[in-house]
Amino acid sequence: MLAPLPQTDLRVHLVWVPILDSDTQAAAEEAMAAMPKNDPRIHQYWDTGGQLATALGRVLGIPPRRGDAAASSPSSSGASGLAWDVYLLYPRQARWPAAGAPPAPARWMHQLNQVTSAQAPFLDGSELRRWVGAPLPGH
Amino acid sequence: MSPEDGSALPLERTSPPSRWLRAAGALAVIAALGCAPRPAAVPATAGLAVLDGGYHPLRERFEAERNHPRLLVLASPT
Repeated sequence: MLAPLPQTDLRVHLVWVPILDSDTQAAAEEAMAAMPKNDPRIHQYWDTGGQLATALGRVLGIPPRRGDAAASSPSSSGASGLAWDVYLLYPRQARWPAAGAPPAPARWMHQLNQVTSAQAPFLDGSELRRWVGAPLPGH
Repeated sequence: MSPEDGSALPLERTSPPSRWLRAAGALAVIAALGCAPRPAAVPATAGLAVLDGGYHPLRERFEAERNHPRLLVLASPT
């Protein structure tokens, strides 16, 4: 799994999301420090308020878990859970319209018990590497 | 955190092991995909960017890099 794919022109956007009580911006900054440094292909973010996790939970159709903010909020109209521990792969030319919800990925993996295999496979590093090196569906 | 409540992993939420297991997991995935550290000649990546309600600056970078395949990872930092 750890053998790199140096030929890839993949870009990585790593978003730290507030899921657990201990998830703070300071914790995200600490986690960021453990990531590869001096690599311009990687961008890291802190999702204040979990807005992206909520939006992507809807896009991906992630079922709620007990305690998910999106599931328990009185203003929440749907039953979507939060997207975290998810790995979303987008092909070249995938767009994210201004002011719009994040786009659905071509393929994705996860580490969430409430997501079924019919929705997406559980994280498999070798398979994810294969995905990165292969043409994506529809492209 | 326990399997009974639907959590992803049977780990304590606030213990250092769980904290670093999660960070290490994301690191392993990124390293496996070829985004390992590069020599010092490459300029340092900017620090942690805070997303606003319009997902700035993620959305703008996502758009700017549309000639590349992109991996978007969401993970808990602890």
